[in-house]
Amino acid sequence: MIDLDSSQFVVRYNVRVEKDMAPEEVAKNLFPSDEIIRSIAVAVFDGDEDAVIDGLTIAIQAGMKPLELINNGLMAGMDIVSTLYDDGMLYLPDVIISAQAMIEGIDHCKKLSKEVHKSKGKIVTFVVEGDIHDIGKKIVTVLLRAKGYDVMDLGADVPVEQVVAAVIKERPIMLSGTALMTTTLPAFNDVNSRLLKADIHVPVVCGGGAVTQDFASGYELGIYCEDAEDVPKIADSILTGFDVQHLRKVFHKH
Amino acid sequence: MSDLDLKERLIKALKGESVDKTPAVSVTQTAIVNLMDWTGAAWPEAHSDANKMAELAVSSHEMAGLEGVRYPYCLTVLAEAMGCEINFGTKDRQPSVIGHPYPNGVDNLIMPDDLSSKGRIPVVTEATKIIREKVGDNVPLIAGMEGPVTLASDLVSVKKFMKWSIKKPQDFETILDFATDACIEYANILVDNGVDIISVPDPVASPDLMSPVTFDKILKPRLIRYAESVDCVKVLHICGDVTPILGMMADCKFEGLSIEEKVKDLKSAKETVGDRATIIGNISSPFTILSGTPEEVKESAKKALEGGIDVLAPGCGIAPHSPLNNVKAIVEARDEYFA
Repeated sequence: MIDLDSSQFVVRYNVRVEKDMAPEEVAKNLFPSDEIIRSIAVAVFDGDEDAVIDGLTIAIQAGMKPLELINNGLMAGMDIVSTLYDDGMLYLPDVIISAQAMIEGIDHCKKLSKEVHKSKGKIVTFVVEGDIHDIGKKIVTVLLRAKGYDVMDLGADVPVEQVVAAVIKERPIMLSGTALMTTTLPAFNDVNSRLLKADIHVPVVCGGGAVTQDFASGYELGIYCEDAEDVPKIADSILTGFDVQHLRKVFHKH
Repeated sequence: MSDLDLKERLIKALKGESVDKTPAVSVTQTAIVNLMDWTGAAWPEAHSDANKMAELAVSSHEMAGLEGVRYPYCLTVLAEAMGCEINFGTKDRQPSVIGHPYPNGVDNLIMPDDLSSKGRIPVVTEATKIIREKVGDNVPLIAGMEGPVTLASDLVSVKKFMKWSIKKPQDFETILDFATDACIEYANILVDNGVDIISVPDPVASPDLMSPVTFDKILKPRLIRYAESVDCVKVLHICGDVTPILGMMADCKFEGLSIEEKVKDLKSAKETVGDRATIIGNISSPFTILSGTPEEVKESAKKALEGGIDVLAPGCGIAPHSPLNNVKAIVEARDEYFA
Protein backbone atom coordinates (compact mmCIF):
# COMPACT_ATOMS: atom_id res chain seq x y z
CA MET A 1 0.00 0.00 0.00
CA ILE A 2 1.26 3.45 -0.78
CA ASP A 3 1.43 5.64 2.30
CA LEU A 4 0.36 9.11 1.27
CA ASP A 5 0.44 11.55 4.12
CA SER A 6 -1.54 14.49 2.81
CA SER A 7 -0.51 16.69 5.75
CA GLN A 8 3.01 16.80 4.34
CA PHE A 9 2.16 18.66 1.17
CA VAL A 10 -0.59 20.60 -0.51
CA VAL A 11 -1.02 21.71 -4.07
CA ARG A 12 -1.04 25.46 -4.44
CA TYR A 13 -0.49 27.68 -7.48
CA ASN A 14 -0.41 24.36 -9.41
CA VAL A 15 2.82 23.60 -7.61
CA ARG A 16 3.31 20.90 -5.06
CA VAL A 17 4.20 22.82 -1.92
CA GLU A 18 5.79 20.76 0.82
CA LYS A 19 5.27 21.58 4.44
CA ASP A 20 7.82 24.05 5.82
CA MET A 21 9.06 24.93 2.34
CA ALA A 22 10.84 28.31 2.25
CA PRO A 23 9.09 31.01 0.15
CA GLU A 24 12.18 31.18 -2.10
CA GLU A 25 11.74 27.52 -2.99
CA VAL A 26 8.04 27.96 -3.75
CA ALA A 27 8.80 31.03 -5.86
CA LYS A 28 11.44 29.14 -7.85
CA ASN A 29 8.68 27.12 -9.50
CA LEU A 30 6.60 30.19 -10.31
CA PHE A 31 9.09 32.48 -12.07
CA PRO A 32 8.78 32.94 -15.86
CA SER A 33 10.77 30.35 -17.82
CA ASP A 34 12.57 32.66 -20.28
CA GLU A 35 16.01 33.10 -18.75
CA ILE A 36 16.38 36.85 -19.39
CA ILE A 37 12.88 37.70 -18.16
CA ARG A 38 13.24 35.31 -15.26
CA SER A 39 16.26 37.25 -13.93
CA ILE A 40 14.14 40.44 -13.82
CA ALA A 41 11.32 38.73 -11.93
CA VAL A 42 13.82 37.18 -9.51
CA ALA A 43 15.41 40.60 -8.90
CA VAL A 44 11.97 42.06 -8.04
CA PHE A 45 11.27 39.12 -5.75
CA ASP A 46 14.61 39.76 -3.99
CA GLY A 47 13.90 43.49 -3.78
CA ASP A 48 17.23 44.17 -5.47
CA GLU A 49 16.89 47.43 -7.46
CA ASP A 50 20.38 47.23 -9.01
CA ALA A 51 19.76 43.71 -10.29
CA VAL A 52 16.39 44.90 -11.70
CA ILE A 53 18.08 47.62 -13.76
CA ASP A 54 20.87 45.22 -14.85
CA GLY A 55 18.31 42.62 -15.92
CA LEU A 56 16.28 45.21 -17.84
CA THR A 57 19.39 46.52 -19.59
CA ILE A 58 20.34 43.01 -20.79
CA ALA A 59 16.75 42.33 -21.94
CA ILE A 60 16.52 45.60 -23.87
CA GLN A 61 19.91 44.96 -25.50
CA ALA A 62 18.53 41.58 -26.55
CA GLY A 63 15.74 43.45 -28.37
CA MET A 64 12.86 43.17 -25.93
CA LYS A 65 10.43 46.07 -25.60
CA PRO A 66 10.61 48.06 -22.32
CA LEU A 67 6.81 48.21 -21.92
CA GLU A 68 6.45 44.49 -22.38
CA LEU A 69 9.10 43.92 -19.74
CA ILE A 70 6.93 45.81 -17.26
CA ASN A 71 4.21 43.18 -17.55
CA ASN A 72 6.25 40.07 -18.29
CA GLY A 73 9.14 40.64 -15.92
CA LEU A 74 8.52 43.30 -13.29
CA MET A 75 4.83 42.69 -12.61
CA ALA A 76 5.29 38.93 -12.91
CA GLY A 77 7.87 39.01 -10.12
CA MET A 78 5.67 41.26 -7.99
CA ASP A 79 2.68 39.04 -8.59
CA ILE A 80 4.53 36.12 -7.00
CA VAL A 81 5.37 38.28 -3.97
CA SER A 82 1.71 39.34 -3.63
CA THR A 83 0.50 35.76 -3.92
CA LEU A 84 2.88 34.49 -1.26
CA TYR A 85 1.97 37.46 0.97
CA ASP A 86 -1.75 36.65 0.61
CA ASP A 87 -0.89 33.15 1.65
CA GLY A 88 1.07 34.17 4.73
CA MET A 89 4.41 32.95 3.36
CA LEU A 90 5.85 36.46 2.96
CA TYR A 91 5.36 39.53 5.15
CA LEU A 92 4.89 43.25 4.71
CA PRO A 93 8.64 44.12 4.71
CA ASP A 94 9.08 41.76 1.72
CA VAL A 95 6.24 43.48 -0.15
CA ILE A 96 7.71 46.91 0.55
CA ILE A 97 11.20 46.16 -0.78
CA SER A 98 9.88 44.27 -3.83
CA ALA A 99 7.40 47.05 -4.64
CA GLN A 100 10.21 49.59 -4.46
CA ALA A 101 12.36 47.53 -6.84
CA MET A 102 9.38 47.11 -9.21
CA ILE A 103 8.57 50.84 -9.20
CA GLU A 104 12.19 51.75 -10.01
CA GLY A 105 12.11 49.20 -12.81
CA ILE A 106 8.86 50.64 -14.21
CA ASP A 107 10.31 54.18 -14.14
CA HIS A 108 13.39 52.90 -15.98
CA CYS A 109 11.26 51.25 -18.67
CA LYS A 110 9.03 54.30 -19.08
CA LYS A 111 12.08 56.49 -19.64
CA LEU A 112 13.35 54.21 -22.40
CA SER A 113 10.02 53.80 -24.17
CA LYS A 114 8.32 56.09 -26.63
CA GLU A 115 4.95 54.49 -26.11
CA VAL A 116 2.89 55.27 -23.01
CA HIS A 117 2.55 52.66 -20.28
CA LYS A 118 -1.02 52.29 -19.06
CA SER A 119 -1.59 51.37 -15.44
CA LYS A 120 -4.42 48.97 -14.56
CA GLY A 121 -6.38 51.89 -13.15
CA LYS A 122 -6.30 54.87 -10.83
CA ILE A 123 -7.21 54.53 -7.16
CA VAL A 124 -7.34 57.20 -4.44
CA THR A 125 -6.46 56.24 -0.85
CA PHE A 126 -6.92 58.37 2.28
CA VAL A 127 -7.42 58.35 6.04
CA VAL A 128 -10.57 60.26 6.97
CA GLU A 129 -10.54 63.74 8.40
CA GLY A 130 -9.64 63.82 12.08
CA ASP A 131 -7.73 60.55 12.05
CA ILE A 132 -3.96 60.21 11.86
CA HIS A 133 -3.64 56.41 12.17
CA ASP A 134 -2.32 55.60 8.73
CA ILE A 135 -0.61 52.20 8.95
CA GLY A 136 -3.64 50.47 7.41
CA LYS A 137 -3.75 52.92 4.54
CA LYS A 138 0.01 52.49 3.99
CA ILE A 139 -0.44 48.73 3.71
CA VAL A 140 -3.34 49.11 1.28
CA THR A 141 -1.36 51.58 -0.86
CA VAL A 142 1.66 49.28 -1.09
CA LEU A 143 -0.48 46.27 -2.01
CA LEU A 144 -2.38 48.19 -4.72
CA ARG A 145 0.83 49.58 -6.25
CA ALA A 146 2.27 46.09 -6.15
CA LYS A 147 -0.67 44.91 -8.27
CA GLY A 148 -0.01 47.57 -10.90
CA TYR A 149 -2.52 50.23 -9.90
CA ASP A 150 -1.70 53.90 -10.09
CA VAL A 151 -2.39 54.99 -6.51
CA MET A 152 -2.87 58.56 -5.43
CA ASP A 153 -2.19 58.56 -1.68
CA LEU A 154 -3.82 61.62 -0.12
CA GLY A 155 -2.32 60.92 3.32
CA ALA A 156 -3.93 61.06 6.76
CA ASP A 157 -6.49 63.45 8.27
CA VAL A 158 -7.77 64.40 4.80
CA PRO A 159 -10.63 66.93 4.62
CA VAL A 160 -13.74 65.75 2.75
CA GLU A 161 -13.39 68.58 0.20
CA GLN A 162 -9.93 67.36 -0.72
CA VAL A 163 -11.13 63.77 -1.20
CA VAL A 164 -13.99 64.88 -3.44
CA ALA A 165 -11.74 67.26 -5.41
CA ALA A 166 -9.23 64.44 -6.02
CA VAL A 167 -12.00 62.13 -7.25
CA ILE A 168 -13.37 64.76 -9.65
CA LYS A 169 -9.90 65.46 -11.01
CA GLU A 170 -8.50 61.92 -11.19
CA ARG A 171 -11.68 59.91 -11.90
CA PRO A 172 -10.39 56.80 -10.06
CA ILE A 173 -12.03 53.39 -10.44
CA MET A 174 -12.27 53.16 -6.65
CA LEU A 175 -11.65 54.99 -3.36
CA SER A 176 -10.13 53.43 -0.26
CA GLY A 177 -10.80 55.22 3.01
CA THR A 178 -9.76 54.12 6.49
CA ALA A 179 -10.79 55.23 9.97
CA LEU A 180 -9.60 53.94 13.30
CA MET A 181 -11.81 56.05 15.51
CA THR A 182 -15.58 56.20 15.51
CA THR A 183 -15.53 59.94 16.04
CA THR A 184 -14.33 60.29 12.49
CA LEU A 185 -16.94 58.02 10.90
CA PRO A 186 -19.29 60.85 9.83
CA ALA A 187 -16.61 61.80 7.29
CA PHE A 188 -17.60 58.72 5.26
CA ASN A 189 -21.15 59.97 5.17
CA ASP A 190 -19.97 63.33 3.81
CA VAL A 191 -17.75 61.71 1.17
CA ASN A 192 -20.64 59.45 0.08
CA SER A 193 -23.23 62.21 -0.21
CA ARG A 194 -20.90 64.71 -1.86
CA LEU A 195 -19.93 62.16 -4.51
CA LEU A 196 -23.56 61.25 -5.20
CA LYS A 197 -24.41 64.93 -5.47
CA ALA A 198 -21.70 65.27 -8.12
CA ASP A 199 -23.22 62.19 -9.81
CA ILE A 200 -20.05 60.15 -9.29
CA HIS A 201 -20.81 56.52 -8.50
CA VAL A 202 -17.36 55.26 -7.56
CA PRO A 203 -17.14 52.42 -5.01
CA VAL A 204 -15.76 53.55 -1.62
CA VAL A 205 -13.95 50.77 0.21
CA CYS A 206 -14.17 51.44 3.96
CA GLY A 207 -11.81 49.79 6.42
CA GLY A 208 -10.02 50.25 9.74
CA GLY A 209 -10.76 49.49 13.38
CA ALA A 210 -13.81 51.72 13.75
CA VAL A 211 -15.63 50.56 10.62
CA THR A 212 -18.11 47.70 10.67
CA GLN A 213 -19.93 45.98 7.83
CA ASP A 214 -23.29 47.37 8.91
CA PHE A 215 -21.84 50.85 8.93
CA ALA A 216 -20.32 50.58 5.45
CA SER A 217 -23.50 49.01 4.04
CA GLY A 218 -25.46 52.04 5.23
CA TYR A 219 -23.99 54.14 2.42
CA GLU A 220 -24.91 53.75 -1.20
CA LEU A 221 -21.25 53.59 -2.30
CA GLY A 222 -19.82 51.81 0.73
CA ILE A 223 -18.04 48.46 0.63
CA TYR A 224 -16.74 46.94 3.83
CA CYS A 225 -13.27 45.44 3.86
CA GLU A 226 -11.65 43.73 6.83
CA ASP A 227 -8.35 42.54 5.39
CA ALA A 228 -5.95 44.77 3.49
CA GLU A 229 -5.20 41.80 1.22
CA ASP A 230 -8.76 41.99 -0.12
CA VAL A 231 -8.44 45.55 -1.44
CA PRO A 232 -6.51 44.64 -4.65
CA LYS A 233 -9.01 41.83 -5.23
CA ILE A 234 -11.86 44.33 -4.98
CA ALA A 235 -10.07 46.57 -7.50
CA ASP A 236 -9.56 43.63 -9.88
CA SER A 237 -13.27 42.83 -9.58
CA ILE A 238 -14.21 46.42 -10.41
CA LEU A 239 -12.15 46.13 -13.61
CA THR A 240 -14.17 43.08 -14.58
CA GLY A 241 -17.37 45.12 -14.20
CA PHE A 242 -18.58 44.46 -10.65
CA ASP A 243 -20.83 47.16 -9.16
CA VAL A 244 -21.29 47.99 -5.48
CA GLN A 245 -24.06 45.42 -4.91
CA HIS A 246 -22.07 42.69 -6.61
CA LEU A 247 -18.90 43.59 -4.67
CA ARG A 248 -20.80 43.42 -1.39
CA LYS A 249 -22.06 39.96 -2.26
CA VAL A 250 -18.53 38.69 -2.79
CA PHE A 251 -16.51 40.58 -0.19
CA HIS A 252 -18.90 41.11 2.73
CA LYS A 253 -18.14 38.32 5.18
CA HIS A 254 -20.63 38.78 7.99
CA MET B 1 -7.46 34.63 50.62
CA SER B 2 -10.41 37.04 50.47
CA ASP B 3 -8.15 39.45 52.34
CA LEU B 4 -6.25 40.17 49.16
CA ASP B 5 -6.15 43.85 48.27
CA LEU B 6 -6.39 44.96 44.64
CA LYS B 7 -2.64 45.19 44.21
CA GLU B 8 -1.91 41.79 45.72
CA ARG B 9 -4.68 40.16 43.70
CA LEU B 10 -3.50 41.60 40.38
CA ILE B 11 0.16 40.81 40.96
CA LYS B 12 -0.63 37.27 42.08
CA ALA B 13 -2.91 36.71 39.10
CA LEU B 14 -0.28 38.04 36.67
CA LYS B 15 2.29 35.70 38.19
CA GLY B 16 -0.07 32.77 37.73
CA GLU B 17 -0.70 32.25 41.46
CA SER B 18 -4.21 31.35 42.59
CA VAL B 19 -6.57 34.15 43.58
CA ASP B 20 -10.11 34.33 44.98
CA LYS B 21 -11.46 36.04 41.84
CA THR B 22 -10.08 37.20 38.52
CA PRO B 23 -8.95 40.84 38.63
CA ALA B 24 -10.65 43.24 36.20
CA VAL B 25 -8.43 46.06 34.94
CA SER B 26 -7.16 47.64 31.77
CA VAL B 27 -3.46 47.30 30.91
CA THR B 28 -4.05 49.49 27.86
CA GLN B 29 -5.26 53.08 27.44
CA THR B 30 -8.20 53.93 29.76
CA ALA B 31 -9.24 57.57 29.19
CA ILE B 32 -12.74 58.21 27.84
CA VAL B 33 -14.47 61.46 26.95
CA ASN B 34 -17.21 60.90 29.61
CA LEU B 35 -14.54 60.95 32.30
CA MET B 36 -12.65 63.86 30.74
CA ASP B 37 -15.89 65.88 30.99
CA TRP B 38 -16.58 64.68 34.51
CA THR B 39 -13.10 65.47 35.88
CA GLY B 40 -12.28 68.48 33.73
CA ALA B 41 -8.97 66.78 32.99
CA ALA B 42 -9.03 66.25 29.24
CA TRP B 43 -6.72 65.36 26.37
CA PRO B 44 -4.48 66.78 25.05
CA GLU B 45 -3.56 68.63 28.28
CA ALA B 46 -3.64 65.42 30.34
CA HIS B 47 -0.66 64.15 28.33
CA SER B 48 1.60 66.93 29.60
CA ASP B 49 0.11 68.11 32.91
CA ALA B 50 0.87 65.80 35.85
CA ASN B 51 -2.19 66.79 37.89
CA LYS B 52 -4.57 66.26 34.98
CA MET B 53 -2.86 63.03 33.98
CA ALA B 54 -3.29 61.76 37.56
CA GLU B 55 -6.87 62.94 37.96
CA LEU B 56 -8.08 61.39 34.70
CA ALA B 57 -6.27 58.11 35.45
CA VAL B 58 -7.71 57.84 38.95
CA SER B 59 -11.23 58.48 37.61
CA SER B 60 -11.24 55.23 35.64
CA HIS B 61 -10.53 53.46 38.92
CA GLU B 62 -12.95 55.44 41.08
CA MET B 63 -15.75 56.09 38.56
CA ALA B 64 -15.48 53.13 36.18
CA GLY B 65 -14.39 50.68 38.85
CA LEU B 66 -11.28 49.31 37.10
CA GLU B 67 -9.09 47.63 39.71
CA GLY B 68 -5.94 49.55 38.99
CA VAL B 69 -4.79 52.96 37.80
CA ARG B 70 -3.37 52.87 34.29
CA TYR B 71 -1.54 55.84 32.71
CA PRO B 72 -0.29 57.68 30.62
CA TYR B 73 -2.56 57.64 27.54
CA CYS B 74 -0.13 57.40 24.66
CA LEU B 75 2.91 55.53 23.39
CA THR B 76 4.97 58.63 22.76
CA VAL B 77 6.53 59.69 26.09
CA LEU B 78 9.81 57.86 25.60
CA ALA B 79 9.79 58.50 21.83
CA GLU B 80 9.58 62.23 22.52
CA ALA B 81 12.36 62.09 25.13
CA MET B 82 14.51 60.31 22.52
CA GLY B 83 14.01 63.05 19.93
CA CYS B 84 10.84 62.15 18.00
CA GLU B 85 8.45 64.92 17.02
CA ILE B 86 4.94 64.43 18.45
CA ASN B 87 1.50 65.57 17.34
CA PHE B 88 -0.44 65.81 20.60
CA GLY B 89 -3.81 65.12 19.00
CA THR B 90 -7.12 66.36 20.35
CA LYS B 91 -9.62 65.53 23.06
CA ASP B 92 -10.48 62.28 21.29
CA ARG B 93 -7.36 61.62 19.27
CA GLN B 94 -4.24 60.06 20.78
CA PRO B 95 -0.81 61.61 20.31
CA SER B 96 1.31 60.16 17.54
CA VAL B 97 4.88 60.34 16.30
CA ILE B 98 5.21 62.53 13.21
CA GLY B 99 8.96 63.16 12.99
CA HIS B 100 11.83 60.68 13.31
CA PRO B 101 15.35 61.59 14.44
CA TYR B 102 17.29 58.87 12.55
CA PRO B 103 15.70 58.16 9.15
CA ASN B 104 19.06 58.09 7.37
CA GLY B 105 21.05 55.64 9.42
CA VAL B 106 22.47 54.65 12.76
CA ASP B 107 25.86 56.38 12.67
CA ASN B 108 25.03 59.16 15.11
CA LEU B 109 22.69 57.71 17.71
CA ILE B 110 22.63 59.86 20.83
CA MET B 111 21.47 58.48 24.19
CA PRO B 112 20.36 61.40 26.39
CA ASP B 113 22.59 61.86 29.47
CA ASP B 114 19.76 62.40 31.89
CA LEU B 115 16.75 60.62 30.46
CA SER B 116 14.63 61.21 33.60
CA SER B 117 14.58 64.96 32.91
CA LYS B 118 13.74 64.71 29.20
CA GLY B 119 10.42 65.51 27.51
CA ARG B 120 7.38 64.44 29.53
CA ILE B 121 9.18 61.83 31.63
CA PRO B 122 9.13 64.23 34.65
CA VAL B 123 5.35 64.60 34.11
CA VAL B 124 4.85 60.81 34.32
CA THR B 125 7.01 60.46 37.44
CA GLU B 126 5.21 63.39 39.08
CA ALA B 127 1.82 61.90 38.16
CA THR B 128 2.94 58.59 39.72
CA LYS B 129 3.50 60.34 43.06
CA ILE B 130 0.17 62.17 42.89
CA ILE B 131 -1.74 58.99 42.04
CA ARG B 132 -0.08 57.02 44.83
CA GLU B 133 -1.05 59.73 47.29
CA LYS B 134 -4.67 59.65 46.07
CA VAL B 135 -5.25 55.90 46.01
CA GLY B 136 -2.85 54.62 48.66
CA ASP B 137 -0.61 51.57 48.62
CA ASN B 138 -3.24 48.93 48.00
CA VAL B 139 -4.24 49.90 44.47
CA PRO B 140 -1.88 48.82 41.67
CA LEU B 141 -0.27 51.54 39.54
CA ILE B 142 0.10 50.34 35.96
CA ALA B 143 2.36 52.47 33.79
CA GLY B 144 2.27 52.02 30.03
CA MET B 145 5.24 52.56 27.74
CA GLU B 146 6.09 51.74 24.13
CA GLY B 147 8.13 48.57 23.65
CA PRO B 148 11.59 48.39 22.05
CA VAL B 149 10.33 47.38 18.60
CA THR B 150 7.83 50.23 18.38
CA LEU B 151 10.36 52.74 19.74
CA ALA B 152 12.96 51.58 17.18
CA SER B 153 10.41 52.08 14.37
CA ASP B 154 9.53 55.54 15.73
CA LEU B 155 13.20 56.53 15.75
CA VAL B 156 13.71 55.68 12.06
CA SER B 157 10.09 55.57 10.65
CA VAL B 158 8.09 52.37 10.20
CA LYS B 159 8.79 52.12 6.49
CA LYS B 160 12.58 52.43 6.90
CA PHE B 161 12.39 50.02 9.82
CA MET B 162 10.73 47.37 7.66
CA LYS B 163 13.15 47.94 4.81
CA TRP B 164 16.15 47.63 7.10
CA SER B 165 14.78 44.37 8.47
CA ILE B 166 15.67 42.85 5.10
CA LYS B 167 18.10 45.20 3.40
CA LYS B 168 20.24 46.44 6.28
CA PRO B 169 20.12 43.75 8.97
CA GLN B 170 23.08 45.28 10.79
CA ASP B 171 21.41 48.70 11.11
CA PHE B 172 18.15 46.98 12.02
CA GLU B 173 19.80 45.23 14.96
CA THR B 174 21.70 48.38 15.99
CA ILE B 175 18.55 50.52 16.22
CA LEU B 176 16.76 47.73 18.11
CA ASP B 177 19.58 47.49 20.65
CA PHE B 178 19.63 51.26 21.05
CA ALA B 179 15.84 51.36 21.56
CA THR B 180 16.03 48.44 24.03
CA ASP B 181 18.65 50.29 26.10
CA ALA B 182 16.38 53.35 26.22
CA CYS B 183 13.32 51.27 27.18
CA ILE B 184 15.22 49.58 30.01
CA GLU B 185 16.43 52.91 31.37
CA TYR B 186 12.96 54.47 31.22
CA ALA B 187 11.29 51.42 32.77
CA ASN B 188 13.71 51.52 35.69
CA ILE B 189 12.96 55.23 36.21
CA LEU B 190 9.27 54.26 36.47
CA VAL B 191 10.01 51.43 38.92
CA ASP B 192 12.20 53.71 41.07
CA ASN B 193 9.29 56.13 41.29
CA GLY B 194 6.89 53.55 42.66
CA VAL B 195 5.10 52.01 39.67
CA ASP B 196 3.87 48.46 40.45
CA ILE B 197 3.34 47.04 36.97
CA ILE B 198 4.67 48.07 33.59
CA SER B 199 2.51 47.41 30.56
CA VAL B 200 4.42 47.36 27.29
CA PRO B 201 2.37 47.65 24.10
CA ASP B 202 4.63 46.84 21.15
CA PRO B 203 2.27 47.04 18.16
CA VAL B 204 5.00 47.08 15.50
CA ALA B 205 6.08 43.59 16.60
CA SER B 206 2.67 42.26 15.42
CA PRO B 207 2.59 39.60 12.69
CA ASP B 208 0.52 42.14 10.72
CA LEU B 209 3.81 43.96 10.19
CA MET B 210 6.83 41.78 10.99
CA SER B 211 7.27 38.11 10.15
CA PRO B 212 7.20 35.50 12.92
CA VAL B 213 10.70 34.43 11.83
CA THR B 214 11.97 37.99 12.43
CA PHE B 215 10.14 38.02 15.75
CA ASP B 216 11.74 34.77 16.83
CA LYS B 217 15.29 35.47 15.69
CA ILE B 218 15.68 39.24 16.14
CA LEU B 219 12.87 40.81 18.19
CA LYS B 220 12.44 38.16 20.89
CA PRO B 221 16.04 38.39 22.21
CA ARG B 222 15.57 42.17 22.69
CA LEU B 223 12.27 41.71 24.52
CA ILE B 224 13.91 39.09 26.76
CA ARG B 225 16.81 41.43 27.56
CA TYR B 226 14.28 44.17 28.43
CA ALA B 227 12.25 41.86 30.67
CA GLU B 228 15.33 40.56 32.47
CA SER B 229 16.60 44.09 33.11
CA VAL B 230 13.43 45.55 34.63
CA ASP B 231 12.60 44.49 38.15
CA CYS B 232 8.81 44.55 38.43
CA VAL B 233 5.81 42.66 37.09
CA LYS B 234 5.50 43.29 33.34
CA VAL B 235 2.85 42.78 30.67
CA LEU B 236 3.58 42.51 26.93
CA HIS B 237 0.74 43.66 24.66
CA ILE B 238 0.91 43.00 20.92
CA CYS B 239 -2.00 43.95 18.65
CA GLY B 240 -3.69 41.87 15.97
CA ASP B 241 -4.03 38.12 15.69
CA VAL B 242 -0.84 37.04 17.44
CA THR B 243 -1.61 33.32 17.23
CA PRO B 244 1.52 32.61 15.10
CA ILE B 245 3.87 34.24 17.66
CA LEU B 246 2.07 33.52 20.93
CA GLY B 247 4.46 30.72 21.87
CA MET B 248 7.42 33.01 21.21
CA MET B 249 5.83 35.82 23.22
CA ALA B 250 5.57 33.38 26.12
CA ASP B 251 9.37 32.97 25.96
CA CYS B 252 9.92 36.72 26.42
CA LYS B 253 9.92 36.50 30.24
CA PHE B 254 7.06 38.93 30.77
CA GLU B 255 4.72 37.72 33.51
CA GLY B 256 1.61 38.49 31.46
CA LEU B 257 0.64 38.63 27.78
CA SER B 258 -2.21 40.92 26.75
CA ILE B 259 -4.07 39.85 23.63
CA GLU B 260 -6.95 41.06 21.45
CA GLU B 261 -10.16 39.25 20.63
CA LYS B 262 -8.59 38.59 17.21
CA VAL B 263 -6.92 35.60 18.87
CA LYS B 264 -10.00 33.49 18.29
CA ASP B 265 -9.37 30.42 20.42
CA LEU B 266 -8.58 31.42 23.99
CA LYS B 267 -8.38 27.86 25.27
CA SER B 268 -5.70 26.79 22.82
CA ALA B 269 -3.91 30.11 23.41
CA LYS B 270 -3.75 29.15 27.08
CA GLU B 271 -2.41 25.74 26.12
CA THR B 272 0.25 27.25 23.85
CA VAL B 273 1.47 29.59 26.57
CA GLY B 274 1.28 26.97 29.33
CA ASP B 275 2.85 28.05 32.60
CA ARG B 276 5.34 30.37 30.93
CA ALA B 277 3.04 33.41 31.16
CA THR B 278 -0.50 34.44 32.06
CA ILE B 279 -3.06 35.84 29.60
CA ILE B 280 -4.86 39.16 29.87
CA GLY B 281 -7.78 40.32 27.76
CA ASN B 282 -9.70 40.06 25.60
CA ILE B 283 -12.99 41.99 25.39
CA SER B 284 -13.11 43.72 22.01
CA SER B 285 -12.37 47.43 22.42
CA PRO B 286 -13.78 48.69 19.09
CA PHE B 287 -16.65 46.22 18.58
CA THR B 288 -17.93 45.65 22.12
CA ILE B 289 -16.74 48.30 24.58
CA LEU B 290 -17.06 51.12 22.05
CA SER B 291 -20.06 50.12 19.97
CA GLY B 292 -21.79 47.43 22.02
CA THR B 293 -24.14 47.55 25.01
CA PRO B 294 -23.26 46.79 28.65
CA GLU B 295 -24.99 43.42 28.15
CA GLU B 296 -22.73 42.63 25.21
CA VAL B 297 -19.66 43.62 27.24
CA LYS B 298 -20.79 41.25 29.99
CA GLU B 299 -21.40 38.43 27.56
CA SER B 300 -17.93 38.88 26.08
CA ALA B 301 -16.38 39.11 29.58
CA LYS B 302 -18.12 35.90 30.60
CA LYS B 303 -16.73 34.15 27.54
CA ALA B 304 -13.21 35.29 28.44
CA LEU B 305 -13.62 34.12 32.05
CA GLU B 306 -14.95 30.76 30.92
CA GLY B 307 -12.00 30.48 28.53
CA GLY B 308 -9.67 30.76 31.52
CA ILE B 309 -8.43 34.33 31.15
CA ASP B 310 -6.08 35.18 34.05
CA VAL B 311 -6.87 38.91 34.11
CA LEU B 312 -10.07 40.31 32.60
CA ALA B 313 -9.40 43.42 30.49
CA PRO B 314 -10.14 45.15 27.19
CA GLY B 315 -8.29 43.54 24.26
CA CYS B 316 -6.69 46.86 23.32
CA GLY B 317 -6.79 50.55 24.24
CA ILE B 318 -10.28 51.78 25.17
CA ALA B 319 -11.60 54.12 22.45
CA PRO B 320 -12.23 57.64 23.83
CA HIS B 321 -15.91 57.62 22.87
CA SER B 322 -16.68 54.37 24.68
CA PRO B 323 -19.65 54.90 27.05
CA LEU B 324 -18.82 54.89 30.77
CA ASN B 325 -21.47 52.21 31.38
CA ASN B 326 -19.67 49.84 29.03
CA VAL B 327 -16.41 50.27 30.91
CA LYS B 328 -18.22 49.80 34.22
CA ALA B 329 -19.72 46.57 32.85
CA ILE B 330 -16.27 44.93 32.80
CA VAL B 331 -16.02 44.82 36.60
CA GLU B 332 -19.76 44.18 36.99
CA ALA B 333 -19.47 41.12 34.73
CA ARG B 334 -16.62 39.76 36.82
CA ASP B 335 -18.63 40.33 40.03
CA GLU B 336 -21.67 38.55 38.59
CA TYR B 337 -19.51 35.65 37.41
CA PHE B 338 -18.01 35.16 40.87
CA ALA B 339 -21.22 35.87 42.81
